[in-house]
Amino acid sequence: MNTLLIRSQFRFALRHPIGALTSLVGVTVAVTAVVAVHLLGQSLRLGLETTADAALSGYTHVATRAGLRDADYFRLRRQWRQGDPALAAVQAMMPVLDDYVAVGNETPQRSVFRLIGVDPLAGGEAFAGESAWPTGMDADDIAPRFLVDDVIVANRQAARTLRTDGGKINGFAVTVVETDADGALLADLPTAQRLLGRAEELDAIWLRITGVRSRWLTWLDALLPGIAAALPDYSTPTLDGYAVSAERRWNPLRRFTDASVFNLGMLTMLSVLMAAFLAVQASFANAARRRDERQRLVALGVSNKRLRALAAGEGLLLGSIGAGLGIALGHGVAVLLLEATGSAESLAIPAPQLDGWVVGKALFCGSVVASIGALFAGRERRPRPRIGIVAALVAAAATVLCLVHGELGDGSLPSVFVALLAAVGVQILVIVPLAGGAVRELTTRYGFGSLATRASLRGAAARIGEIRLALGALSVAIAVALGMGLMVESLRRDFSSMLDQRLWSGVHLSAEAEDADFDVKWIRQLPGVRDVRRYGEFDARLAQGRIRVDVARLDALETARYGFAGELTERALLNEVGGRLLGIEAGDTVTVSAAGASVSVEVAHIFRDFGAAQPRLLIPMPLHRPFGDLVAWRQLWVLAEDGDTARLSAALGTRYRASRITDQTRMRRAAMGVFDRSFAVSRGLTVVALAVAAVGLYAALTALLAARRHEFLLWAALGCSRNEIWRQAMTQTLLLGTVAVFAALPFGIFIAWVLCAFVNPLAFGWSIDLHLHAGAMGYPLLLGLGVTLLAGATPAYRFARATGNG
Amino acid sequence: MVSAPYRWLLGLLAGAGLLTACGEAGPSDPSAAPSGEAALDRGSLRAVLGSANAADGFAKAERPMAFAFPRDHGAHPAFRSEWWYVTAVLADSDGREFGVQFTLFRQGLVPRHSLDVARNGIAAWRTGQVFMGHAAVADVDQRQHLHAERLVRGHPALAGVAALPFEAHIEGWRLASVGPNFWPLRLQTETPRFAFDLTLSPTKPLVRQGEAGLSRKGPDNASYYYSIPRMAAVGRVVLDKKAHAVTGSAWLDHEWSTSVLAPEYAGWDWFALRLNDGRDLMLYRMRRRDGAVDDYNAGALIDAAGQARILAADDFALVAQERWRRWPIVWQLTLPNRTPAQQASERLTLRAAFADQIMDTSIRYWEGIVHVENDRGERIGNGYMELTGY
Repeated sequence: MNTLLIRSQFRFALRHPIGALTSLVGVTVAVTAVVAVHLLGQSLRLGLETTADAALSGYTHVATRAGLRDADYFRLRRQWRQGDPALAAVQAMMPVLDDYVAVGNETPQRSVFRLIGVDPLAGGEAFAGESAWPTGMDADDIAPRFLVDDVIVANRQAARTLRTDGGKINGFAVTVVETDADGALLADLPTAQRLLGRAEELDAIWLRITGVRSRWLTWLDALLPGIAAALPDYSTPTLDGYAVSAERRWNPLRRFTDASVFNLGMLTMLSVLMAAFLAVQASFANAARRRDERQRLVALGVSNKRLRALAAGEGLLLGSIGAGLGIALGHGVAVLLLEATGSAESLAIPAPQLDGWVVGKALFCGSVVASIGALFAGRERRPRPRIGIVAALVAAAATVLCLVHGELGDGSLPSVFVALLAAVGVQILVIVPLAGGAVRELTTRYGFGSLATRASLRGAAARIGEIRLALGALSVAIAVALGMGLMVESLRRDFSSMLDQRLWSGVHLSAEAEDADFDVKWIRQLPGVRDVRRYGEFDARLAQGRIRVDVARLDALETARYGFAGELTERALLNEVGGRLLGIEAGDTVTVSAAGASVSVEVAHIFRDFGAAQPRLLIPMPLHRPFGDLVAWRQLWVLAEDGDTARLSAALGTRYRASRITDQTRMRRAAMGVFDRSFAVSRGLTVVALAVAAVGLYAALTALLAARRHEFLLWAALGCSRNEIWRQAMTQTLLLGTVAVFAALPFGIFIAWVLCAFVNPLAFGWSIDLHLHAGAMGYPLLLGLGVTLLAGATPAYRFARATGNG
Repeated sequence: MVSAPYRWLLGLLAGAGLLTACGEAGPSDPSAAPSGEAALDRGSLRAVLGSANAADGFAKAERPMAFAFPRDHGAHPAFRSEWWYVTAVLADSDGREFGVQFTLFRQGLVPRHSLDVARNGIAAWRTGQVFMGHAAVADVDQRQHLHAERLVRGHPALAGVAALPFEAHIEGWRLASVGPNFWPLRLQTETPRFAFDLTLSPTKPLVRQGEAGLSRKGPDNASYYYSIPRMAAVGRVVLDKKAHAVTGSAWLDHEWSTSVLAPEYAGWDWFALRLNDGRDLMLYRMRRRDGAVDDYNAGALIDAAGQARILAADDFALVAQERWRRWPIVWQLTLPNRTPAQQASERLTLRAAFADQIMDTSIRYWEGIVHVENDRGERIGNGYMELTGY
């Protein structure tokens, strides 16, 4: 009996190759999307993470407090050693002085470096690791001296500067140990305290805490690359009198990276959901096509259980083949997308690599979901509206709650994404069925077109419920495309307006060390020059964290570039990232400290700084004086008469050969180019999502037409031609597409609002004004409609040929 | 084997994560020992104890010196390595047997004339010393051996040693005089899993090991070494948050040198034994890589009155009888005749109270309670055994 059934399965597949192929293509496309998004996410995550600063080197948390001293560290350490429960998870603690030091006597050579002083033995563990020691040095000689003398481990540039200066910092002779690694200068804690004149002072206590990332989070991250980056870290201890933050939160660049990879992770999850849906839909369509055959087999005495097992087996086989094809195709798509967008070069992103996780995920999405889908597809069940309503209400409540938490909570990006996922549920369970209901009502009350058209529309409207999942998914895909498009367009508009403010006509000079001594008088007398402005910079600390400080003449012209009206002589401007990361608002007073000097300044305005990953404070020129030579004057802005920038650039280039000379107009163009390129990957992924939805819809429409076969046969018997039947089928498709598109419109705007108001500020520290750009809305709607018609054209044609008259 | 004596310090710098991008999180117990992979080049005792080379500037133990107390209870920073070492075999009122070990190692990075404990500010960080503390409790009934390690730089707030009043401490673990005089001593350690607090009083005089305190470990290597055997110990041991009032006897060793272990040695086997007849015995066997009996094996037999007889290599024989994994945990000890009238030499069996008493610390070694049995299998004493370099 079993052999007979299996042979029957194969024969059916051979007699209806298009149907079997559709299922296979459905699974293949679904798996392709999953694999492509996974690999892209994985590569981008690796690329971003390797560029992020691993400043704490294995330490996971930072404890800080105002006026931190050696004695505080010893007290905390004693508490820890005595078994204080608050410190139970702490594995090691390290006293840290983290400051900036100026190196070099002569102005052109003078550089400011970050100097980290640590007690290398504070970790309390002994490790083997001679390979870690900088190469080419006499380790036996230097190692003991690191704890006894003034030894500095420096990167190449710093080592060169130090040697030029006779190996002295603030008058103290130091032994320089050169290392290939980039990063801050490293010294023993007392060495740093001595060189910085900060005896017994500390800036932080680093903590290494166990269980920071639980195993399930690691697994989750392997399954959906990036997803765990922004998930809450539950192991941060509460210490009286200390502000303790996780390293990933403390380090702005790390936070930026985490937010980016988390977005990718969410995209991966969406792709998995879509793919799973598609695989299920393909199974449903396959089962629908074989309804007659199934009924005949049941009549012959084959049990439903056996038929379901058979369907599951077929699903498993088709799914496995589809998964295999999808893995290969997905890998190719990922490689192509990375190459096409140029992201791989600009961000040093490694090539996509297949691993066990992605293969397992692909096989699961393809074979398991397809077979489970086939299993359920055979069951004749009436939809249970109450469950749908309850689920929709729960999803709606979750959306609201998560958005409120996203707004009020700290770093609650996951809440916002949960809200979005819940909203997807609302869309599929409520909005799309409501739109379908409205269409049904309309087609029932109002008729237009021929009798056949009216009957076809009513027939289609009556059966919308049968393909609600496919319609819902298409609607979500269109909405995501619309939401992303609106967000990108809004950001583009805000970014462009920021560039308009910042980049006026003129030339920007960014100097290397040997060119830093610009001759401003000489530049002023060059033809076409209207004004010359100098900009200084140095790294400093606020009580809230590290910050880059820019120094400029903040007259009305300059402040206008940052969206502030009026001159500033006592107050400063802070970028939005700084405001969010450090918790500073306009009107707050901050104390800037570096190398023993400090100055307090009120923040007058928070300015937009798209693209900035780190906090930046712009202080007016008189306030930089306490920092003296710490300020590096490496940048000039030469305002030029319109059209004279090329000649000016050439003149400046001749004199300052080592400097980077950029035409502001060109810089603007380049910035917009980078902007467009960086969003190309998400556009590509959006198209992939739409394609996945289209294949799902194709399968659903095939099933729907199969279900309406008798209806159309009646029309054929009444004399309808193939063309007429094709038109009826296409009218039905158009109707369904319209439902999906209109249902997508409000949801797309909602997604755009969430992205602008929640995701971007939480992830990147940038706020975006939502702008309802007609083009950005129209394009995905039209694309969605086009995709629907394309998806429906082939089934309609095949159906018309099979049922209509010559 | 690490050839350069300071390579271990480089490891520490790397271990602190400062010269590499990122380190893995280790065990959850802050006092627990690092995992096997993470540990210092284990077995390379010379890396810590030092060899003849790379000892520039440090004083060397070359000839007997006149010990002066209490000064010599303190640190000798002119020498590179030094340790204070206490073991005790204890029992509670129910006869439940416990062993306790505390060791404070000092390693000088540069020679110093003295350890100025009154330093503060930047100077306090620049003592040029590194300290490592080991503490362990053995619970014989439960076959349980718990240990912990601490490793910090010399700093008055972290670790150090003072002679008057005597105090050797590392992050809350202390061996110190209770009052202005050296005696009595109080030994305190506390870790999340165990603790002990013992008061130690002398019952026998201090014993200068080797040649008036110069203990030779090879042709060019030696240390200054004295022991205080059979101290009366009273106090408490806390295990699994349960305190046990205990009494027993303890042994203190204090040893300092600049080079102890020559390349031809893999390690040593060391014993400190208390016999029920009042005698105490210290023995060590330098274990040569070629397996030959070493001329520098030595020991001391201290009678009930406290008179010590220094034993040379041919005065005793130690033969491993049984091994657990690679550790020899049962030994046959042959001692010289107790009196000239005795014809037969004395044969004793030294049997580990239980097998797994490994110190899984930066330097992996075996350190634990042994029971002493006569040739009739009767228990006639107890003590501590240390096996290194396996």
